[in-house]
Amino acid sequence: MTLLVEHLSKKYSVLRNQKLETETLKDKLTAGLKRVFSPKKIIKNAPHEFWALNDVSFSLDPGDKLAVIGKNGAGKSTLLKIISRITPPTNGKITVRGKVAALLEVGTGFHPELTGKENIYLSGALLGMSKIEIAGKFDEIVDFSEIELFLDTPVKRYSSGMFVRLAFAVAAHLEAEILIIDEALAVGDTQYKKKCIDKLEEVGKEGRTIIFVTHDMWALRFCNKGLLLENGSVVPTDSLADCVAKYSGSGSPQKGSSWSGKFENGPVVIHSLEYTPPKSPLGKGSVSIKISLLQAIPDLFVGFLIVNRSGNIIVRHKITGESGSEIKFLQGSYEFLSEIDPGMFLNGIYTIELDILLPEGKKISHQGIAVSFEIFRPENSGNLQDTLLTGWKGDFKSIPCMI
Amino acid sequence: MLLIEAGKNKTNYVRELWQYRELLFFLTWRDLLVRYKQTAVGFLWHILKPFLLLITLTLVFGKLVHLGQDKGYPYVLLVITGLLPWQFFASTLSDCSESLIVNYQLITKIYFPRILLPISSMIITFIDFLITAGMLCILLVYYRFVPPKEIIFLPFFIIELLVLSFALGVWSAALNVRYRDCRQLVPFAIQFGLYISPVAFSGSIIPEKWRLLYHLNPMAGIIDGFRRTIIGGEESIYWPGQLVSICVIGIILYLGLTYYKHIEKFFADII
Repeated sequence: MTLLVEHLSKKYSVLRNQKLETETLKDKLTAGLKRVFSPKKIIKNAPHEFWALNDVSFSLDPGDKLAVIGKNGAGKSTLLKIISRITPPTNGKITVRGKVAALLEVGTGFHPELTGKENIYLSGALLGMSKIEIAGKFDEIVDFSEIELFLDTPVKRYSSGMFVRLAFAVAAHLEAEILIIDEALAVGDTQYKKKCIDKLEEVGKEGRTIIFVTHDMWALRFCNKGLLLENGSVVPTDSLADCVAKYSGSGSPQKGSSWSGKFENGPVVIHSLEYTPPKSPLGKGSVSIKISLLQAIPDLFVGFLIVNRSGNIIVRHKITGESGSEIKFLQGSYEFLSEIDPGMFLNGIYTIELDILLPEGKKISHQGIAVSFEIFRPENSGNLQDTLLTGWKGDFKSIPCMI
Repeated sequence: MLLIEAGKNKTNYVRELWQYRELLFFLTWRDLLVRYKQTAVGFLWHILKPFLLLITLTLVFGKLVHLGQDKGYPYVLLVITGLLPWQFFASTLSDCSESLIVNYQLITKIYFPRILLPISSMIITFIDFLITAGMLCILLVYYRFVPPKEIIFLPFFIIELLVLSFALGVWSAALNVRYRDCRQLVPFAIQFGLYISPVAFSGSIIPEKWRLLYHLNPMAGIIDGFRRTIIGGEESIYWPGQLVSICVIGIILYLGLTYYKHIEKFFADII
């Protein structure tokens, strides 16, 4: 066991009727005076209690990768701060075996006036590396961050992308038994995120324990355990998938929808359009289109559009119909299937519309044939580009004639 | 194996400081580097500033204002022996008191012994102190002035100065985390302290019956000590007063460290 958390609780006192975070001397003095002059009355500014964490227990073995998920204010950051000794618990106990390195924010300890090189040393030291260790890993860090050219430039002149890359590069090379990462991926572009996840996977394989907080569900793929927090308490779950399911909408799967009928338009008969939501929260959904051709069409374009609420086409997906493709559609019925990754969408309602073109570029009208789906995940940050990079798989097959 | 438990506060400061000695170096190095980034002469400022002060003092008090020439030492020496400990005290107090709150991003995101921050502030002000001390040596040579044999007590007063500055610095740093009022209070206290401490005048002008009371201001004892051991004067070190000063420093050290230790764990929560 590398980490054992037992009945951990953390209480914060919040001043009522006060906007100030820190109480000033005046508050103390006036409270004291009030107590003197009206000892029996309840003082208005009396702090009230707020439990950021409530009786949290879990344990981790070497090599475990724990995903901590929950809404904002669920206590994720508080938990990480207690484990990394930044703030003390009110109750409970934590036993840690080994060195803990925590990256609670990308770029902590960076000083804008210092150069990239100086900052590697400074933030490395702050995150717990020794001078020799940093010197030994210096080249690796620079390689990973891809900023060789700007090593002697003050980081205040860096682009935010460069800054983030350098900051994560330092953290990724920490030698610690337990690595804590909070929302490190909330910043940076898709490629950066992917690189970070790959690096974390690599680190995880070395048998180190990782505690990882993110709102990006796709980024959890390398984790093997989940901890779902809600209002400071642990929601009981039996697996990571269950954890994610309970988080992304109380376990209810996304609603699917379908259209079926018979819509004849020239040589094409449209039978159905169907959206099937993913079976698991991290999985993919699918779109199925069934059509019949009354005659052979050599160069048919079949695909669909995904339109957002304001009517903008955000995806135009073609399943088949590359111009000049070899496929010749004979007379008959076909089913076109395509995977769709709900992870790429922001919260909202989307409509799938058919997009069928005849060889001459004549569009088949699809009036009224559309299905919609809704994406709702709490605090979704959306990963549009990433999914597009990996691409969707589309396929089609012949099905028994439906006419 | 590390145990984090509620309500336990058994920090071994000495061991932690040793563990984090490299970080202390890096924090000091950072503050030194940052101070002179985008300046043309860089680290030379460390020497230039006290040097310019010295020139000013010598010109004003040595050539223009003919004060204290009758005391057997130039007036400028009286001023600089007062300024040397006072400047260290004032800059340590103000830098230390800010050291925690200006680094709130570190405190809320990274664990390390928080005491490193005021200590690294003090190391930097101590470097300034040493450079000013070097200037003083140059001045002594210039005036061909040989310090009296009491100079052997000087290290004792330096330690007294370090302890007092550290204690007040740490105390005000911790208070500042809790009550930002401290931020307003410290500059005022420093200015006020300059008037009630014998920086620009000799402590011997205080009437005999008030001397002991006067030494309740620990800086009075320290400045007096610096002056007597470096340039001597008509009377030797006033030991009863020194004793009072030491007691006051002891009390400040105790109160300061106790308060610091009391709220240290909660810095990240209340900063």
